Amino acid sequence: MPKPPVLPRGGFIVRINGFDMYCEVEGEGPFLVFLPGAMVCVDVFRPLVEAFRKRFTVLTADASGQGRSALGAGPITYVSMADDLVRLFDHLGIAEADCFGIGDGGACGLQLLIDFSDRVRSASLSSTAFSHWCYTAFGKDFIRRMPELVKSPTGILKVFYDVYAQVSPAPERFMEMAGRVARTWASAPNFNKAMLATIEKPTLVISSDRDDFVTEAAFRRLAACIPGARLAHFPGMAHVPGVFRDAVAGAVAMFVGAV
Amino acid sequence: MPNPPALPRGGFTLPINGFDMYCEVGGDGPLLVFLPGALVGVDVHRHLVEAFRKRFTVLTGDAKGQGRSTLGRGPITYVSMTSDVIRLLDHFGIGEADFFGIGDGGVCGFHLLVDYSHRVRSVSMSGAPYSHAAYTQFGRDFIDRIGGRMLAPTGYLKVFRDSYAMTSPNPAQFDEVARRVAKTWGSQPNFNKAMLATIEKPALVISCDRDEFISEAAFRRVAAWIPKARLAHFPGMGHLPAMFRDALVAKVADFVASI
Repeated sequence: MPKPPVLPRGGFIVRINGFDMYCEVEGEGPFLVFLPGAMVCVDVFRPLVEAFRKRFTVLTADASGQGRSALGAGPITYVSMADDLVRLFDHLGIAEADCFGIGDGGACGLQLLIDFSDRVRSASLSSTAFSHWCYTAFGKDFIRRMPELVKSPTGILKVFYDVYAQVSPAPERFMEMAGRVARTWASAPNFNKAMLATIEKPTLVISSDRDDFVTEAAFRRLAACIPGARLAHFPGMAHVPGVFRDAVAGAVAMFVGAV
Repeated sequence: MPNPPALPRGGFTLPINGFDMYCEVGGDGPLLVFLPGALVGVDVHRHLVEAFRKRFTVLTGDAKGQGRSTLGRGPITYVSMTSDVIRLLDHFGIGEADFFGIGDGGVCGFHLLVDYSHRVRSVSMSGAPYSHAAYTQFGRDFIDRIGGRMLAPTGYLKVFRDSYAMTSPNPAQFDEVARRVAKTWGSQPNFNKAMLATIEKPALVISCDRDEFISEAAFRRVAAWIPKARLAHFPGMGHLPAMFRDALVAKVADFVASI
């Protein structure tokens, strides 16, 4: 396994692509980049991040407009988020890294695997939809109603909104940020079998059967489409790992250790 | 129209994202960024570039591994090429620009409009497929057997390889470039109606009825799906504009001036 790069510790801000990106580096062990995705941030996934820090030196970065990062100019898409990460790697001198992505962060992981694979050593993808075909009926309905739901957030959106209100440098821009994310969620991700078949780097697909948004069949399809992908299935787990967090971090550690 | 930034003139090389990008600046008038795409360089489109230079200050760059640029690491995908173009704009301090893309360069135009729209003033696209659904039977057959065709180039591919042999800093790497490009051509582009419907910046779709690779219906579909897109149709034109080049440039100039 490559040595962790020499990085600052704790929370810090890096100027990336015209916005201030909030990053954290904590934990001991091999280096891992944790990708939270859109509408969410490191603070939403705090317990999961802590579980990973028991096994890895974890770098997390809030994407443009998410969590403690400022809202940059332009779209918030899987491409733009992956591109910002590559620029973060450039800034910190990271040639390539093992990555873990959850939800939208997993879709960024797919973008990295396809378009920036020279910067990826391995990718572990949890709760990840590769296209709208992957969504449950609940997930499809949620995506369709998202522009209206963000106006008076309930359920998981309320959790995101409350965290945002607490940590964001510009909480009043929540609706603007959510509008850009809704635009992406309505149309992407849109990876197909042929695109997934071009992936050459080691990939772990983390599967579950209680994900509200993504079907179990979609996780199996994703693992089947990516050449050589491993599948780790967690019966009873939902979109957010919850009590499965140590088991997920353990599965990722075993996978990364074997690459 | 914004003033063109102060750019060097003529041909020069810039380090962009781990490779040496060959760029050219020539012509007079408003700034236009010309995107040649993959497997082709500026030299393949020399006549078309010259036609644009009569109306614009044209900035053009050979993508990674193409033409006079060096190969560098990593995939050659529409996303990676677009990301490199953004880095080129950053290098010159160009906030936003009018773009013209042909073929694969036009596909990069879709990514600019969807993922980097804050860097776009307008995009004009010629001979650009939005997905494999855009291909003619000939185009589909060409793509399906692209791996084998790259090894024994005929027709267009032979033109590309011969040009490569004359201009590349390392002609021996053609097979490796072709391998990476074939992976992309075999699986992408994969834009759908929902993704194109998110486009907000002005787009000009250049259509024709003699493109060997792309059906006329596909051009009309793209123009219908992109909100407020304009369509300019050239009866009799093929995948490469050839003798239609001056008429095409005039259409692009009118479009850019009207924004």
